[in-house]
Amino acid sequence: MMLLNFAIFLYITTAIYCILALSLDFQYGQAGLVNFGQVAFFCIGAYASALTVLSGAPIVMGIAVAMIITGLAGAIISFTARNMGGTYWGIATLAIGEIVRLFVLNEDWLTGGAVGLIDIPSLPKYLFLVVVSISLIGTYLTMRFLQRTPYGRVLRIVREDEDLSSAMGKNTFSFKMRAMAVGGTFGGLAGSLYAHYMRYIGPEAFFPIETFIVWGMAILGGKGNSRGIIVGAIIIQFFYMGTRVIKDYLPLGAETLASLRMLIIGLLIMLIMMYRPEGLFPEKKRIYRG
Amino acid sequence: MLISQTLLNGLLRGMQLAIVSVGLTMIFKILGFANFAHVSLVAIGGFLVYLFYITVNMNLGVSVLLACTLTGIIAVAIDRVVFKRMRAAGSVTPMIASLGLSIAMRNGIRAIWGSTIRSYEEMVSPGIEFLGARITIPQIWIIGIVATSMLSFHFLLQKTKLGKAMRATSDNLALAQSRGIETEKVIMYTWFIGASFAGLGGFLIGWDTQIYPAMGFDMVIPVFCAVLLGGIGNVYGAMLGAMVLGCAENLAVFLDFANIINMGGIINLVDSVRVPIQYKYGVSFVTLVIILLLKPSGIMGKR
Repeated sequence: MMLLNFAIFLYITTAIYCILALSLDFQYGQAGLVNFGQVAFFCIGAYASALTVLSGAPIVMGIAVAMIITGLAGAIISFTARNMGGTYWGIATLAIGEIVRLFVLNEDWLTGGAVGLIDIPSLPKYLFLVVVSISLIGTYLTMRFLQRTPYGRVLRIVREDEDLSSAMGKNTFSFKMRAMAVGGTFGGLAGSLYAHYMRYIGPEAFFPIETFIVWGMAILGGKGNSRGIIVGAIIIQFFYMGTRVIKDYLPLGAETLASLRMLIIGLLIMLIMMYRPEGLFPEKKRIYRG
Repeated sequence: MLISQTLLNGLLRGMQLAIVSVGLTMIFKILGFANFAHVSLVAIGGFLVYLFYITVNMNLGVSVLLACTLTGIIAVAIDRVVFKRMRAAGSVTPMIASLGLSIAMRNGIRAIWGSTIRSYEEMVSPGIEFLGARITIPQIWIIGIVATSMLSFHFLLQKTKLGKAMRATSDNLALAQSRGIETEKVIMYTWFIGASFAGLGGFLIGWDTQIYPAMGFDMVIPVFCAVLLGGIGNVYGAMLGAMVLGCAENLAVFLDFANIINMGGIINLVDSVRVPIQYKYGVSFVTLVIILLLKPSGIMGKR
């Protein structure tokens, strides 16, 4: 029974991270937008959904509100940098993520401050399992669908060569902004599921380090390859959880083990960028013949 | 709190940011990527001083010299192993790699020393009254050390052959190369000097307050903010940006904005408008976003 419960826990957390990683990959893998503040979507989604449901609305409504708010947030933050160039966008989004966390930490009247929100309504275990599975499949299919639409094709041109897409008469800003909105929507979905599964959220769950774990998943799996992203998320999450399970058998303190875990994830990100920046499963190049 | 104390705190914070941002801005310009690992060198410097001064019990001056040199050597080694192969890989690949490296460095420190907050001295040194503000002996040293370092760096840049080569490389790497400057060598010296300054900054911050593994990453946004304020690659701009930001952070929570909103007493809208003290570090986040929105080339940057 304990094993089953652990398996369910592992499945649900992995699925939530898969959604978060797919959302990040849509921004980075498809649109080339380096978002170092992905955790902001996760955080806003979690709080928006928790607050909606705590005020009496059903959970479905909470999820919907979360997705709408984070989708809008994604579109709005696009306006904070003029051209969302790779480097600048990375720095700006890192700052935006921290602004969100600082807001959540300090505005007690809304978010409960450092204490966070407790007793968030949840669903029965197996129903939640179904909801998470549907969300993951829905996210995956949406990403695959968007990649195949004309919109997705232009997005990849914007990623590869912004001047070229401008020359083709495309408004590159609009394409990038919509990519941020899509990324935000699904990041918010992940946050909402997280809030209702954990039934407790506080600002300490939304440090920038969460973003970097998701980055590890996205670039390990393979930039621009949705199937690869899911494999990457599973590998990192199993590694993360696995090192928690074996802590009883290692002569190391919990803190040392936690540091070593992050040390390995950090080195992994670095090594992938050094030796295999396209990830384990590279994006398939589709060749068009006219 | 008095205005003089606020300005003094701003000056100290600005100086600590300045010495860290110099190396970042140079590497940013020459190699063309945002090096997130730079701030982790701050923590490395801070903890190396702790190792030599407290654990090995060496003289403080010798410890600091050793720690700064070692931090510089570590940075050169990192460049050789990690970033050299990415010279032609654009700006995003090395940036993500540096982020991974930064996480690894911070957690490496945490694995060795734990996340407890440490300080170099057990006693807080008493302050001296100066124009109504209290300043401690280490703080006087900090101001002196940073001012001396910045001045010597200025002379290095302007008066020596190496400085000339650095400026040339930073202006146009290909052109510098074609004029026979060994740019790889210049890049190596730039890493060494920039990282040593970052390590020195780590010591100074620790001397003023405490050291902890995340001390570097906690200042990543303010340092980038200073660099972008000054314009990427502009060493003097970064110094100025750091001072402006240090003072802005402290003034933002000190000032009462009611006077401005009431237009100097013409209308009486609000009694008192203050930025809550918890948002002190938000100042740099917001400043950063505003610069990127309005003038990504920095307030001193060329078009």
